Amino acid sequence: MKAAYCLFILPLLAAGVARAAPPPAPISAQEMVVQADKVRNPGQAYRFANTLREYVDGKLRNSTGLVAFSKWNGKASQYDNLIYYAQPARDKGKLVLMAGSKMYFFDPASKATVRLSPQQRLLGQAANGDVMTVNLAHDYNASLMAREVIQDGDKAARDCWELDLAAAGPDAAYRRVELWVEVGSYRPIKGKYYADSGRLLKVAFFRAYRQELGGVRPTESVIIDGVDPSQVTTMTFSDYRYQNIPDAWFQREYMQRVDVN
Amino acid sequence: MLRPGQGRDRRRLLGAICLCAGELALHGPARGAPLDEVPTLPEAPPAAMEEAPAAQPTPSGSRSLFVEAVMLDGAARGDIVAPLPPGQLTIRRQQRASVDLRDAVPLSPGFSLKFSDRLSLFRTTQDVAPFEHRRPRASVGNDLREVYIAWRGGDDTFVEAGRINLRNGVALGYNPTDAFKARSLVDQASVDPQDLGSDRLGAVMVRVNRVFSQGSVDVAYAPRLQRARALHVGAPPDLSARLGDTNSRDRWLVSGSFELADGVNPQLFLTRQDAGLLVGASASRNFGQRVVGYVEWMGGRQPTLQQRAAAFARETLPSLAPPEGMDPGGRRFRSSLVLGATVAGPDRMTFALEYHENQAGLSRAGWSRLFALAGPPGSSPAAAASLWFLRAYAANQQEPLSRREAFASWVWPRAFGQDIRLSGFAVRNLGDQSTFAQAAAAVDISDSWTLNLLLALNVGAPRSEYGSLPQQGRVSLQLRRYL
Repeated sequence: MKAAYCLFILPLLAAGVARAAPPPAPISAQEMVVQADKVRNPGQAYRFANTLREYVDGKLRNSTGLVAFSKWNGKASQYDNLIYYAQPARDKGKLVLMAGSKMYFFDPASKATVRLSPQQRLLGQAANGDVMTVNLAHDYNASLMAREVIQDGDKAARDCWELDLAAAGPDAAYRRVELWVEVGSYRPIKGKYYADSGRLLKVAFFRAYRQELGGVRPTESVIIDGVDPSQVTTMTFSDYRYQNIPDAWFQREYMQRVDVN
Repeated sequence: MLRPGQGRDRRRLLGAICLCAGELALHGPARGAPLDEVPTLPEAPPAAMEEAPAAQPTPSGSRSLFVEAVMLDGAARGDIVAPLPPGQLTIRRQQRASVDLRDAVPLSPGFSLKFSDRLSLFRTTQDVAPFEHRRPRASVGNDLREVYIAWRGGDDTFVEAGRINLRNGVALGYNPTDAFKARSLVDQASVDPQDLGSDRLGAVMVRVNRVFSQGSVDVAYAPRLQRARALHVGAPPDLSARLGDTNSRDRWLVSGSFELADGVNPQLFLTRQDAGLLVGASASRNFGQRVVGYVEWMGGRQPTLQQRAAAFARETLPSLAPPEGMDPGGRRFRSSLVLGATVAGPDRMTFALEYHENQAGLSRAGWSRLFALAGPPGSSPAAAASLWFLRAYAANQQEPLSRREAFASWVWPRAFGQDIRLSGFAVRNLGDQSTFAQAAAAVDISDSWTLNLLLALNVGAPRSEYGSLPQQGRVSLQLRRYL
């Protein structure tokens, strides 16, 4: 019995000890997040097309075409985003502006500009794009949790650093983020995003890495709804271009002026 | 019976089991759980891959074209306190088929033509006060909402001339800072204040707008182009441009917005309207993660709404001018205020609550006095006609007729996880507690088709604002096909 006890208990204890202490890493957890941000964002103002497909129980339900304009806001240390709805016809011309703590929705038919709350930002489909552009290093304090092999978005095994990101201030979009970045390249592989309440909002997988705008970047993201995993959204990014985007574009009054051509 | 040492062994085993459970709790669910791997999804169909280029802007990327069919049916209230003036029309039933086009056409570098129009065919069944029921009649109407030339000077300066729908305001139920809302309404399936702004007529104006990195400035001038058009309630639509509605007075607006800290983006207004010279302001701000608070205010030295309606009647329909004593109050400083907030609820729901105050509107005592003059036992026909004209005038101006009201709205996009949008709003007169409400359910049948069912109700005591309306309720069905 004593021998069985040792055989059984000691490995568990060893694993517990290994879980408690972060593994040695070449750079700090915060630096890893900085590198991961650089993988996702080109650093200059740019635009890209985003085809959003929503699936329920594995069946395609909706498809939305967006054009996104993204620019670094030095004051807020975040990306400002202006999202234009190109498809379907019902939504064409609508716009969502996300700049710092401001988020507005504009309808060209009614010419009405409506302000949205941060909570609505987290739950809107167009806002799913922020998993691509959000600057995690500024808004979150990172801790290294573990090194582990996980499945990536193509179900291949990836050796990753697991990071735990806690919101550094009230402006952070999510209360907490768990982020897995690939060992060596620091490419984001998976992220889990949590609300203020601690509820898991979404799980995002980053895949289809390709050379775009001076770096190898994820051109596809699969987002699983944290509350209802049967709801899955895929975002396919294309037509990356550097674009000169004046700061005026991220004013509420400019939304009626947007000309995506 | 335990052998010596067996009890101690069992305790150790129990301890090991507890450790295992704790270890599982630490590591979480086993690999391969729904949130730890990408589910198998169907390959994107070839058509969907071609959609990706469609996400690119096209030369006519601004075009919106749809056809629409609307049926509405009203339920009349039996007796009403103030009888309708003889000859006044009310719509009992209507069918409408429309073609709606909105587009922007580039002309030359920096110049473009913007256009928004709706052409409709109506079949309307009307009642003519006091007792006549008319046979259905067909008519054709055109709503030229916008047509203007736009010049774009770089990315920050815009000059426009033509008919322009210039809209302002941060609130949902009433926008006192919306300087060009008066007399712009067109026939609509929905009476939601947000929807009323969708199809309204612009005013012919010249506008200069400059957008900065920290704000904007907007100057607009809409000249008088035509004599004021008489207000005929229930009159059949026509093909006219309705310049007598949108440009019967000189109006202008200067507004500026700027950014403050904490995401606050106030806007200031100076404008000349029918009521006089007015100043205004609006602002909105986040409060926490779920709440957006906002305020909108406009004020100036102006007459009451009753006085304005009376003056308009004398100018356009002298027969409906009120008798002496019906338009009390002088010209003094009066203002309109909206205080409100939206709250993000569960499952993407949004709730809004607003307080509206219009100092130029009718108080409860004012309503009582009008009902006393217009209804039994006195029943002055002239007073009744003036009361109905006042109501029509206030609605046409998109101003609350009553001094204080509360507004609440609710919207649930993707209701029950489906492509169904449920929404509703209610306006409550805080003086007489009468209420006007609408509920709507919109179903996106496909990317091209939308079906919308709307139900509106007027509820209240007979001598109340909404309880005295001739229509108790209305149901509308709207089918839209995007092309």
